[in-house]
Amino acid sequence: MITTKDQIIIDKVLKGDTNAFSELVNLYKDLVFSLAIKMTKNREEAEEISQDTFIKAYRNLSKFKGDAKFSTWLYKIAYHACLDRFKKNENLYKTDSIDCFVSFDLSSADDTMQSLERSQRAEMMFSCMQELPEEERSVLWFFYYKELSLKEIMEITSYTEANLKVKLHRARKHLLKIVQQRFEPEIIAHYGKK
Amino acid sequence: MEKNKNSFREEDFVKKYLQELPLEETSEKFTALLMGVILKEKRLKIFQNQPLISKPWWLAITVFVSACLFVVFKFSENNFLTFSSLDFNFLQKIALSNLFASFSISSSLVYIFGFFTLMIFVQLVFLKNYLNKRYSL
Repeated sequence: MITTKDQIIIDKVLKGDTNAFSELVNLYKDLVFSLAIKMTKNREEAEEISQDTFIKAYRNLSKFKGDAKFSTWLYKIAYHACLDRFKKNENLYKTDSIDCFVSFDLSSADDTMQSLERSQRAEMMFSCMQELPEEERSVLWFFYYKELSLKEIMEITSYTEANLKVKLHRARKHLLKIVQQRFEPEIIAHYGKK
Repeated sequence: MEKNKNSFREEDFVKKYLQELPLEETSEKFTALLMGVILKEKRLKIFQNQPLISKPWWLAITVFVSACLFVVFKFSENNFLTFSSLDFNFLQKIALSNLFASFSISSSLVYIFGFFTLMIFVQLVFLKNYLNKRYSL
């Protein structure tokens, strides 16, 4: 499962070459940081969590057996570090739950999105993602952005398959609901221009 | 059928636009700072988990306890199950006498200490399992 390059670096570190760990950090720091920032919505906090993640990974490197990808292992540590942070500061991270979902015209939303610049689209999707509860945000990010398999996400989050599928479904619906609320005026405006 | 089709379209929509999100980047000094922390902490050496009592010691303890039990049962004239009548006096011969003669502890303190120790041992098992699960893959 583990790539040869990762394994070579891990072996070096385990033999005492601490500096070799910086190669792993450089390879995976942006992935870990992206997950942390998606979950915490805060750059400083995400950077702290990323640092903690790599320190924990370094301390526990001998426990990594190589049955899964090294990135999956890092994600697992980062994901739980984020959850620990949420537990500590429960009030700070309270996200409003979205109760219902009304289906909307995907093709008009798609047209509207296409009429925007790529960077604008990304910015809008990012802000919509930020409104989701952190657990839904992370499963969407793992599945659609990082394209991890259900099995890999189950390893990271410790959800059962059924639970994960439900969470993914709900997260997708919630995101679309937010997109709808956010972009409805723009969709109308877009069609007004036609 | 229509429901499935709609679900696929929703998936496509979400995937298409989420994949356009840029990968966030850490600050430039991230790696240098992190490596500084790692190198500074001498305790951060990678240890293999070592049990507090090693296998040879467990073996020695097992042999000692077995030997004691063997001596007790071997020289006991009573029934095997009448434990109260077993003669453990031979232990006094090998024990240091009056080592803690001047040292007295109230029985409630002994109970407190006993329960506290028991609680720590129980927690150790749970904590070890919890941490092992978190860092194993």
